[in-house]
This record gives sequence, structure tokens and C-alpha cells, in this order.
Amino acid sequence: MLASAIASGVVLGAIYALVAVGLALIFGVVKIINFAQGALLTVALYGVYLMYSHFRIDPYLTLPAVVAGMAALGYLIQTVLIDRVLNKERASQLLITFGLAMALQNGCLALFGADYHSVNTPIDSQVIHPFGVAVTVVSLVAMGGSALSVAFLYLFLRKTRVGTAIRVVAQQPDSAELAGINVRRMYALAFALGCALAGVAAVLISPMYPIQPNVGDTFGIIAFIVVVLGGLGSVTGAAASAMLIGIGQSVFATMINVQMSTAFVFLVFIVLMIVRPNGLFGRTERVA
Amino acid sequence: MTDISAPPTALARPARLRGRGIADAGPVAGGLAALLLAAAAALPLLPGISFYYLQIGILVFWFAMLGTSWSVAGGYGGMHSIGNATFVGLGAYTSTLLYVDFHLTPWLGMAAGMVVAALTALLIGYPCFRFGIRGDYFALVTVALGQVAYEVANGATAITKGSQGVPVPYAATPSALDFQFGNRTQFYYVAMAIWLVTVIVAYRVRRSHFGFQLLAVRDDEIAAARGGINAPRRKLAALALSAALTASAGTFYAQFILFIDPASVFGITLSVQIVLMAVLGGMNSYLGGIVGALILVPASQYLSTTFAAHPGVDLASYGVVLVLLTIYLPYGLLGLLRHAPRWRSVIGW
Amino acid sequence: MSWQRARFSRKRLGAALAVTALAGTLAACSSGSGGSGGNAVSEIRIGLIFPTTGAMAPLGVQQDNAAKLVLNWANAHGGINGAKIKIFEADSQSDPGTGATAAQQLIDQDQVQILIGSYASGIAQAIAPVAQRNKVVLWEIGAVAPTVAQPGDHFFFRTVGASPTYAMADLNFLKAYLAPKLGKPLSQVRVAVAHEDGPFGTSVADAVTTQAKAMGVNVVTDIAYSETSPDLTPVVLKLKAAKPDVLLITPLVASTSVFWQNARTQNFNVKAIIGSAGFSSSAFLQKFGAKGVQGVYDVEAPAVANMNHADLQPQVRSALATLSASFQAKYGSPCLVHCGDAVGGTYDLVTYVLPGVVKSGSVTADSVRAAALKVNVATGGTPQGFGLKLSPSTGDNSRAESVIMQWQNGKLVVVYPQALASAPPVFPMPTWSQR
Repeated sequence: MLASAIASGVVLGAIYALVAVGLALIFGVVKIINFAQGALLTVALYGVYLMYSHFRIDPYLTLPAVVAGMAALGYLIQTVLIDRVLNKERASQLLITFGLAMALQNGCLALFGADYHSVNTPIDSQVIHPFGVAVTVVSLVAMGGSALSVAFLYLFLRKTRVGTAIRVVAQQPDSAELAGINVRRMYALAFALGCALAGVAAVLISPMYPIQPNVGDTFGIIAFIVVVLGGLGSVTGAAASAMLIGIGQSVFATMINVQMSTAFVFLVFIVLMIVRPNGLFGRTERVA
Repeated sequence: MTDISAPPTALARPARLRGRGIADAGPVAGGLAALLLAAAAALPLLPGISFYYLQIGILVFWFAMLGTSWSVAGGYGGMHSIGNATFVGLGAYTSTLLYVDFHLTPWLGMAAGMVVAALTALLIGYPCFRFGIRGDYFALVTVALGQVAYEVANGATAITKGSQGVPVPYAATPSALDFQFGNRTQFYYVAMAIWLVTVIVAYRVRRSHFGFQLLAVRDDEIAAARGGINAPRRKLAALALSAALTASAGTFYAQFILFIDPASVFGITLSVQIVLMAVLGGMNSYLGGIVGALILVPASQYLSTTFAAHPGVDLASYGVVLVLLTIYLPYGLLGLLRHAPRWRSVIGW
Repeated sequence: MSWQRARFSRKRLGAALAVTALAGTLAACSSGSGGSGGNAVSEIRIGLIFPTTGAMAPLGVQQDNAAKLVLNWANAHGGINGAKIKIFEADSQSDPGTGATAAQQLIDQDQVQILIGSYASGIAQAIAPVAQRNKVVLWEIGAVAPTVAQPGDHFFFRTVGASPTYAMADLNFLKAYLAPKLGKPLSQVRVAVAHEDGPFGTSVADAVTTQAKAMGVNVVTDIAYSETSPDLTPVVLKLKAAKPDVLLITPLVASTSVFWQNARTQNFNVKAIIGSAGFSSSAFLQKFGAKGVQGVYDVEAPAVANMNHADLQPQVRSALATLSASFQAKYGSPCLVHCGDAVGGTYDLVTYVLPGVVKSGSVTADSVRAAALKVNVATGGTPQGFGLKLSPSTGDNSRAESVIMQWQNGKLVVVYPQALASAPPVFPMPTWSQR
């Protein structure tokens, strides 16, 4: 039983990581609490559903279109909306993303109705048994996608010029400006990339959850816990803390109490925040 | 040689720079404000006024008191809590459970709720401020706290009756002692009274030495500490006060709606709405709550009514309105006055 | 104060009603034709209050649409003896406090005389006091918690079965069919209970465990989980460990899909599963296909589109056929459980209660209550198949029943009780390897 709990915790953690890396980037670079991350995931899921139902294609094949669409949306959101409040009150930045979340989520409701929709893929029901525990092929694909996304992001940020520019903007925005980097464009790129990653997450989890206007909510909140616990500015930190949280939640639920497992996660977060404010893997200088 | 252990005299506040608060408003603005208050008080006396309008009024006062309570910690102290629903819920559940299980009058229950909320604020605030958790991190801790509170209320069925909630039993003959009024109009006046008390407390705090120190901590915690102000203690006091005021609103809600459940009083949506009221009104001002509530509550009611037949359009529009307000009024409506010294002093910015 | 004036004139009105009702009844008895009663009522203002946004929107919208459909249908067929129904809508936004405000708004701004709502127990519990205070009847067609209205609340009526009826259906079916099929005496059947930890799941699970104890049924475990959990494997693992014969699970819609996938992954097999809510949804069928859901039971009010209509009274049968078809045509999905609740409850109101109200000469909470308490409809007289008799003390329908349905070949059919069954139950449920 414990082995199965850990296995499903690993899967859960991988899904959290998938959803959180986009947020990690946005939070780390643009430095705003993006309340709309869950709603963006929802929008992306509806994008998958739209293409699935209209063109009858496998949800995985919607990846390029969804990613492109989300990237464009992200770029737009940053340049048109977030940019306007960047140097203003922190609370205003928070609220603009909340307003955005409301508009996006209820826009989906108004457009698509409140019904639950699901997308199916041929490998839906396939289960394999590595190491004696049961795992669905779909979740393995999600795990693979998660690892790839983290790796991609890591390499992008470390090895490419644009990625390095983004990192500079994240760590030293004033120096970045002086160095000739167009900070606002980097913000827009980061936001676009963060949304694109949400798109990837949506495609990969679409066979696993019914699509309805509130589908992104839980993920949105957990994503924050994951990102902050991982340490601001650390994408790999976010991935690692996602795994820890996923496994912790699963084991606690299975071995102790299911109903209190979410409270457990939040409580652990509070304690860890107090004990290690930089997050588990963050660097020593904090930007808050 | 300068005695570095004595606090610099600059912190003995120079009165001429602080203004005279409300007294600076002058006869015109002051008269207008008095007129508005009188009109609000007279609203229920209008012949034939339907209770629905009074209910909107009660909602406005309720959100206003929540917004102003938030400002005491968030505006004055820079502690942007997105978890104040925790305190609303603590107030509501404390007074309701004491009433249902022990027949304690909700007025005393309200006091008990305020104490519980203040203690909770101290409990979460102490470790946070001791270890330097601030800004976004503090906000996320409060979000997590709100979620924990919600789950505990849902799960601790033996005490809280769990997810099914607690109905407040009708008193056989409603009396003020039961905090239930046969004449519903009295709820309006009670709401207005609690709101007034909250605003007056916020105003007095703003104008007090404590408030001055709190603002110093908000603006630059390190400099304030160097100036001899015990920052964590000030922040804790502000957070506890904010929590207590918020909890009183929770009790009012329970007695007015006569039903509470974890989702309605501990939800994160409520926490965010509270921040909305304060920030869109003007978060540093003790009047931010009422201004924000006066804009947002009628707007949301109007949208809800107009689009009743089209699910989602009303809330999507509300989201758009919020985005626009945040872009064009990033410091809130009262924030527009923040550059004029005289009005700054009046609104307590 | 104006409210005092209103109350005074209502007292006079009440007296006038009593006299008119009496006169009307006497006239009806003696002449045998529809009594004169004085058709002073030309219009009945009804407010619909459902969660059309927020977490409960999917089924809240369905109930709102279905109720509207019936009211429009009534209007199209001559209204209520000539009186037209005027429909007003408000959104409770899946929140009790908002529901209370919306109810007040409907009462004050739109002067509704009857409220139809609320879908969820919490919301109903916040609306009931508003209705009671403002002397407007709340006609409840969805909430299942037994304690929605407070004692002494006279303007609350509920047409659907409260959560104890779910438990009764579960346990009676267990006793009458499942236990014999399992070859065990009732007390030896291992029953596991799982439920979402919101008001719906909790009230049904509580009713089940209470009644199980009374009947000597062995509940081996009771697991509460959060509806929005992204992973229910822990629940499945714990259920597996308890080795049940039968699982009674009460999810909402989202967790149904997650649970079923996790159960498949972990190869969790039981002899019978009785689900609810999400287990009856078309989303469930759509996701897993006919083979994937074959044999699963579901307990709640009947899915009216898949019910045996043979024993319904003829006019009820034809009305249901019409309404069900219109719903499908207009909204693209069949009229199943929640649509059935709304259609049934609203049909009951317009067919059995409102004519009496119109006849009484005025639409007030008292006249509605009087008409409602007179209703005595036998089994087969309502679209959901059960009867209608409202209790003067609690307002509940003592004849309401929940039924057991089963997915058979991609269709959700009623299998128990026999009177409403359109097919016999199938046993055992296929194991995962057989799906």
C-alpha cells in the first residue's frame, strides 16, 4: 500500500511540477502573484477540448496550437495589462490578475456552458506495472512531459541568450536596464513562456480530468505553494518541491487521513516558510 | 559624543507635517460627509423602501468594515493578507457555536470571536515577523492559513458540524439579546454602527503614535528598527487588531444570514473580495473600505441582475471591471488624493 | 412603518381567502364543475433561484433551464386556469449569502410570490429564512439535507427525497437483491462508504451509516475526501484494504471521473458499486464508454428519460414525454436526474398546487401553503414516479423516493424499486479485466 501511495504521489508531483513551472517563471521574473494561473490552465484545457471536438484529433496532437495560442495570450496579457501596474502598489498587481482570472474563467462558462466535457485518447485505459505498482500510461506521458518541460526551461534559461537575459531581469532588473536589455520585452516573453507552459500542462493532463470552468482552481493554488516552497527564481526548486508535496500529500492521505491531506500540505508549507523563508532550494538573497 | 542608544528626536513627530486629520477637511467637505452619513441613516425611513435596498446597504457596510479592518494591517502596516476570511470565519463560528451549544448571547460571542481571531493572528504573525516573512511571502502564508482553516472547519465535524454548516436557530421572540431582530431594519442600523466603530478605530489608530510608528515600519522596516521601534511587535498588534475587527463582521454575517458553512465564511473568494474593497477604495485610508464597497457592491449587484439569464456573463464583466479599475486607479479611488497634502491628511493616507 | 401596514392587510386578505376558499370548495362540491372561486388572479410571479455560476453551475444551470421549460410549457397550455406565470431569475453564485440576497431581490424588486430553488442544501438553508420572513413560499426541488428548514418554518416545501431516501434505497436494494446475490446474510455483507466532504456527500453518508446501524449492516469503512482532489488513489488504496463486497460512494461530478480512473489503475474490484451524482452523468458515460461503466449502480431521483413510464398516470406520462423531448432538443442533453428533479418539482407545482391557489383568489404564502397541504397524489402521479404528499410540519414529501439505477449497455435504467424499474438488475458487475 505504501509503495502504491508513493508511486501515485510521484505522478501527482509530476503534474504539480508541470503546472507550476510556468508559474515559477512568471513569479520569478515578473514578480507578481499571478492569480490567473489556474484560469489560464482552464482556458488552455478548453482550447484542447475545442480542437478535439471540432477536428476530431487526439488531444496530444493539439499541443502546437495550444502552446502557440497560450503564448500569444500571455504576451498580450503582459503587455496590455500587467505592464500598466508593474510599478504601482503590490496589491493592485495582485488584483489585476484576480480580475483577469474571473474574466477568463467566467468567459469560459459563458461561452462553453457549465457542462463537463472530457477528451479521450486511445491510450486512456492502459495501465502498466513497473516495480509492482500500477501507473497509467497517460500519467507516464504527463511525467515525461513534465521532466521535459523542466529540462527545457532550465536549458533555455541557462544556455540561451534570451534565457540569460530573462534571468538577469529576474535577479537584477535595474542592472538589466543599464545593460541594454529591454526589460519590458523580457517580462512579456517570460509571461508568454509561462502561459505556453500552462498550455503544455493542459494538453498533458486533458485526458485525466473533466473539463469545466473550475478545473484549474485547485492546481492554481497548489502551484503557488510549490513555487514558493521551491524558492523564488528556482525552476528546478519548484520541480523538486512539487515532487515532495505530491508524495507527501499522497502518503499522508493513504496512511493517515484522506480528508486532511490538503490541510496537511498547507500546514507544512506554513511551517517550512517560517523555517526556511528562502524556500527549500532558493538562493540566499530574497526578492520579496 | 552622540548617545546612539537614544532614539533620534526626528521620530518625535513634527506636528506641523502631519496635518489635523478630519479637521483639515473644512466646512464644505465636512458638511457633505455629515450629509451623506445622515442620508445613510435616514435610508430605512424612506416611505415604502423595500428591504432589498436595505440589504444592499447592509452588504455595503459589511464589506466596508471588512475592507477598513484589512487596511489597519494591510494599508498601515504593509501586511497584505489574502486570508482575512480566516478571521471572518473564526468570528462567525465562535459566536454561532457558543450560541447554539451554550446559549451564549451572540454579543458576548462576538467578543469571544474577536479574541479568538486576535489570538490566531498572533499565533501566525509571531513566527512570520520573527523570521522576517513579509510581502508576497506573507501573503501566501495567509492564503495557506485560510485553506487550513477551511479544511479544519470542514473536517472537525464534532465541533463545527462540518461541511453541512450551522444554521442559527430562530429565537422564539427575536430580541436584541439574541442579536436577532424582528424588525429587519434594525440590522441595517447595527451594521452601520459596527462599521462606524470600525472606521473610528481605524482613524484613531492612524492618528495615534502607534499608527505613526506602524507607518514607519511599513515604509522602511530597517530604518524604523534603527530608530528604536520594535517592528515585529507593532506589526503583531496591527494584525491582531485587524483580525479582531474582521471577526466582528463574521458574527454579524452569521446573525444576519442565519446560516454559516465553511465555504461561505472561510473561502478564498471572500478573502480576495476583502482586499478588493480596500485596495480599490484606497488601501492606506481608513475610508478606503467604504469607498470601495460603495463602488463594487452595487456594481456587482447590477451586473448580476442584468445578466441573470446568461450564466457567467455577469462575473466575467465584473472581472473586466476589476481589471479596468486596477489599471486606471492603481492606488484606488482615494489614492487620487494622495498628492494633495491637505486631503492626504483628511483621508489619512 | 410600511411593513406593519402590509401585515395588517394580509390578515384581512387571509380572512377573505378563507371565506372564498370555503365558498369555492362548496360550489365545486355541489356543482361538480370547476368552482367559481373568483378568478381575481391573472398573474403568478415566480422567481427561480439557482447557482448558475460558480462550482455548482453545471447542474444548477440544468435545473434552472428545466424549471423554466415547465413554466413556459404551462403558460403555453392556457396558464393556470387562465392565469399567466411570470418568470424571474436570479443567480445564487453557488454561495448561501449571495443566495439570500438574490432571494430578497426577487421578492422586493420583482415581487415574486413563489420561489423555486435551490439545488444545494447550504444555499437552501440561507434562502429559507428569507422566504419565511417575507412570507413567500420556497418550493425546493433539489437540496437533500434533511434539516434545511427550521422548525416552525411554514413556507418551505420540498418535492424531492432528502438524503434519508438515498440511504433507504441503498439499503433496501442491498437487502432485497444484493445480499441474496452475494449469498450472504445481510449482516455479513461488507459495505464500504466513501463520500465527497461537502454538504451533499456528507449528508448522504451520514444517513447511510445511521440507517445501516439500525438495520445491522456492517459498514467497514467511511472515507471522506475532497471533491477537487487531483488524485483519489489514496481513497482507492484504503478501500482496497478494507476488502468490501459493496461500495456506496457519493461524489459530485468531477471526482467521479478521477475516482473511476484511479480505481481502474489500481484494479479495485467490488461486487457492486452504488454511486450517485456524477455516476449518473452523461460525462461519466462519455469518458469511459458503455463498457467502462457497465453494471455500475447509481442512487438518486430517477433519470426521467430512462425510467419506466408505463405506470405513470397517462397525462403525466405524456407531459413528461413532451418536456423531456423539449429539454433534449433545446439543451442538447437528455433529461436525467437533476433535470428530472426540476421538471418533476415544477410540474407538481403548476399541476397540483397552483390551480388551488388561483381558485382561492389570491397568491399569498398562506394560500400556496393551503393548496400545497391539500395535495394528495398517489404513486405514478408525478413525473419522477413517486407520489406527492407534503408534511405540514417539515414540508417534505413523504412519498418521495430515491431509486437505484444501473448502467446497462450504455443506458442508465431504473432497476429498483420494481414499480419504476424498466429493466431487471444485472449481477455481478464486470471486473476491470472484463471491461
